[in-house]
Amino acid sequence: MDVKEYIKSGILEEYNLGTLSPQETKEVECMRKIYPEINEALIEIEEDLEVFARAFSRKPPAGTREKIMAAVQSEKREEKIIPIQQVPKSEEKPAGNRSGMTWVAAAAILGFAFAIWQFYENQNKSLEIAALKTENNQVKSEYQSLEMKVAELNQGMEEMYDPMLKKVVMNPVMDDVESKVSVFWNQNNGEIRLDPSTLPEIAENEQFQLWVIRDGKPVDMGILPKDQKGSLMAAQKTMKAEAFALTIEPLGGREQPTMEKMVVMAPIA
Amino acid sequence: MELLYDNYGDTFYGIAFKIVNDEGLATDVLQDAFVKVWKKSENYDSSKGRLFTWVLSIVRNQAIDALRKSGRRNEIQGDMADVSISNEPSGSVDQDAVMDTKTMLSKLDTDKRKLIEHSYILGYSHPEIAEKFNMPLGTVKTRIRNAMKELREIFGNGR
Repeated sequence: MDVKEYIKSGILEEYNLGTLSPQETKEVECMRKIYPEINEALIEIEEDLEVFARAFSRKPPAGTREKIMAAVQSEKREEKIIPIQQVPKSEEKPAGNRSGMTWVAAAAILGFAFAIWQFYENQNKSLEIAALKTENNQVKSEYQSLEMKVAELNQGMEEMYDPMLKKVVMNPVMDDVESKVSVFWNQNNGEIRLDPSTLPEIAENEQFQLWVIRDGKPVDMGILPKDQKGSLMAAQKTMKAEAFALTIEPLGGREQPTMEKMVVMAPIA
Repeated sequence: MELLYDNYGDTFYGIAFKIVNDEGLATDVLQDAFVKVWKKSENYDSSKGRLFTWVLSIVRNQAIDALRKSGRRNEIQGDMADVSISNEPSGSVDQDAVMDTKTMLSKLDTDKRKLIEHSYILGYSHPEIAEKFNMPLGTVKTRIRNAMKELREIFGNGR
């Protein structure tokens, strides 16, 4: 799936507006879990929306806060009042009995007090539950990202211990260059990885190109992207190598290496 | 709930007012929305979005409902978009930050502002906007996205 196209499609904005169908909503929820980019885009939209919405802020008439808080509380109370009505019913005594009436009244007062107590208890609990839920979600997502990192590290470790993975250090060739570049060559499948972070800065119109010397001839292994950091995998694979080398070439690379612009090189023992 | 009100009450009231354009009605909307939030708070799932977004959509829907009930949805549609943000009485707003946001918003051109206002504040769906502004649906989506991006840049520079 093309994540960029998906983000561009406008579906995420509609998700935040709540105008999507339940099925589409589920789809977006699923997508945000799978693709971190989508999740980030959603968070960004929400933040923008909040900033934008704040521009419309307006002071409500005086007393609104009290009115609303009272309304919120009475709402919860209504629900909790139901059990009180059941109390007098179970205490039904012959009418006119004075002690019976007191009983009913006492029970009602007790029930009412209990309902108030329960209301506050519930209010506290639901706040607690909400806080716990948030915390739980955070822990969950932290755990997931850790799990992914561990899996990545494990894979890296396995590769490191693979006897067929050869680490080759390319040493500087040019006088004014001091960089050393490590190349990891997997002799099982011919994959080559390298970390370009130690390479020197080069001009806008130049690019590094990786070469392998095979049967005495240089063979193009691909050009290094200019803007990417971290471990790179070569475009080409090779099962045979006598040496690896990096040269500086014009943008797009060349078919044959410019030998005088060779930066680093390593012969394979 | 007090916390929610103290942090966002003015914003939610402002949105409600923007939609219904009536103080009394906006207060009712805000009250009904808060009661709804309170009753449904168990439904809120933070993995699906921020609390603000969730409450905002409840406020918006409540306001649109109220407007429909009073039968004024059509009457208001027309002039509401023409109310410029900077024309609102400054006394109605108490935070400097909000004023800053407004100044920044005024940097965005009117057409773009109208689009995001209709979408994010007035709660029009993309197809509804397309119809109202007589624009292809795809254009509406791209323009809203771009407008938000531009807005983000404006805010970014202001910070």
